[in-house]
Amino acid sequence: MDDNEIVIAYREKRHATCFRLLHDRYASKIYGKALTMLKKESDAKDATQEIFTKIFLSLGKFQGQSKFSTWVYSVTYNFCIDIIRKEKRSRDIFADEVENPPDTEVTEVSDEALTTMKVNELKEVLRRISETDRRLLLLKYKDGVKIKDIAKMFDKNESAIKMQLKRAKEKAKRKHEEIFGSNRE
Amino acid sequence: MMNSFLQIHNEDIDEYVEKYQDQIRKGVESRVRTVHLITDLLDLFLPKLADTATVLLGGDITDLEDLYLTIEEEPDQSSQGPPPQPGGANGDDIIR
Repeated sequence: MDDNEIVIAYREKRHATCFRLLHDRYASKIYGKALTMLKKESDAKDATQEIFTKIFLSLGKFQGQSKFSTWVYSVTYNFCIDIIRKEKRSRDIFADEVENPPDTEVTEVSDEALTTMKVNELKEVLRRISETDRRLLLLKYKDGVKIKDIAKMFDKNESAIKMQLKRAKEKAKRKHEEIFGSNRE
Repeated sequence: MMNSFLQIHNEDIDEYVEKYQDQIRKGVESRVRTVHLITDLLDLFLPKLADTATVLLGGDITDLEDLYLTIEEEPDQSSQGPPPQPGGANGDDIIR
């Protein structure tokens, strides 16, 4: 049964099985994305509960024009962005450097340099870089969000996001070398 | 060698399933049920409450059946005049 069929069945009968099917398909993914955005486990857990409730209560608004998964993820990201904005009491959740990047040369770091790091090392690196960089790297490489979608999500242009991502990769690699580099030699 | 980001992704999913899945499912299910129950009750009783309020304020209950006549209730058009006579209006025409 595909998502749209389950949604239609749920709308008609509000059957618990349909609810469970959708929950089991999407809740863990929503949690993963909320964790990318909000960092803390407890916040991600609360957000997942809120987002899922919101999704089920507004299933009537889902017209089926886009894929159900696309709609679910856009609700998820918008919800998390609202939370971050409220917490920071700022219009912008990205640092100024996305808008006005410093005029320094950025060396290109290959994706493999990050994706082949050991998991524990990568986690440590992600803990030590800025919140903006961590979020960007996880959105791109963990959640597989396209650059154009990240740009849309944060109301930025694609080239600004690409540049910030490039810098984030470079910073992560440098941080990795700083922490673990000496252990390798 | 597996992409480390994907390993983190899988770890997040496992963590959710292990720690939170049942708890969140039950929480959401009960919230959604409560909201649906409230909206169903409102759907059922709001029109009655509106009618009660209208009567208390001295108005009349809106009876939909009075406003929208069904086919059977519509006055019969054909009974408003005599049935048409054969031939012309004065009955002079001879029909052969």
